[in-house]
Amino acid sequence: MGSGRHRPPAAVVDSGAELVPVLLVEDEVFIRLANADWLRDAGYAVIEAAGADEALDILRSGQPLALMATDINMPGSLDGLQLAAQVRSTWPAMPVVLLSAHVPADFSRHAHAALSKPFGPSQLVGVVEDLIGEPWQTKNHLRGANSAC
Amino acid sequence: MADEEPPAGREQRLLVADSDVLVRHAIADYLRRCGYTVIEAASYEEARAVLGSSHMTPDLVLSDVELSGDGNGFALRSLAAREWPDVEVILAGNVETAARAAGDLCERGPQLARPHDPQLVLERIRRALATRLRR
Repeated sequence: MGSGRHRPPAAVVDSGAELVPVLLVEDEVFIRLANADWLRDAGYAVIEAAGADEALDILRSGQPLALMATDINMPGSLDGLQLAAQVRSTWPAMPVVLLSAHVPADFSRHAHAALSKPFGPSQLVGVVEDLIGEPWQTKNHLRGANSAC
Repeated sequence: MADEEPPAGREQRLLVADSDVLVRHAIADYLRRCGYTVIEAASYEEARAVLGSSHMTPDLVLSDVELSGDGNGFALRSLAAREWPDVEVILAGNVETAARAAGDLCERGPQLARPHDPQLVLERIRRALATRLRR
């Protein structure tokens, strides 16, 4: 961990602005840890949620977030598709990525992007970067995509 | 902290076990800013799985007493004492204790300095909990 971390330009570091984290929702602890590590190694701040209920708690807490990436098959009151649908309806500006071994063909109804498991670090980081830019660019989203609801 | 230092070249790894994501996130975020590698567990089962993983064993565990799952924080500490005696387990009975413990860990952590006062962590947790209660 750490050796592959991208470094933001010095001017960005000096600005003192906070990185706006991405929310990672995954109930399998080792998959969550690996995915979170990949994103942190790429320079993103990551908040980990073990299920949809935790994710909604974070989304509603006022913590600004730049993006949500969620597994689909999860125990709890909502699965990942239901969580994505709720996020799109409540926080329409929030980019959502689905992570699943079985990505539905109509995933674009629920999310902006989807990754089929298994995937590697470059794929996960690539799709996040495509949606919100390089990690330090999330400082431009200081209000967070969930701030308006 | 366990008496033995982690192997040279490896970051110090902490496991933060708390079933409340608002508390867990705030404490984990603070400890990452202190230079630790932080693994998060949302339940007794997740914490046990991390402790039992040979490539992920933490140097220290900071756990809420009221951890959800098949066991609470006391059960986790007993399990760790039996199975992984080198891993110290710090139990926190409330968010104040957890924030204070995180502040203490920071002072002996990799960066030997606090990124900010742990009282700010506590205030952040309280604000987040209050926001949840209002909804």
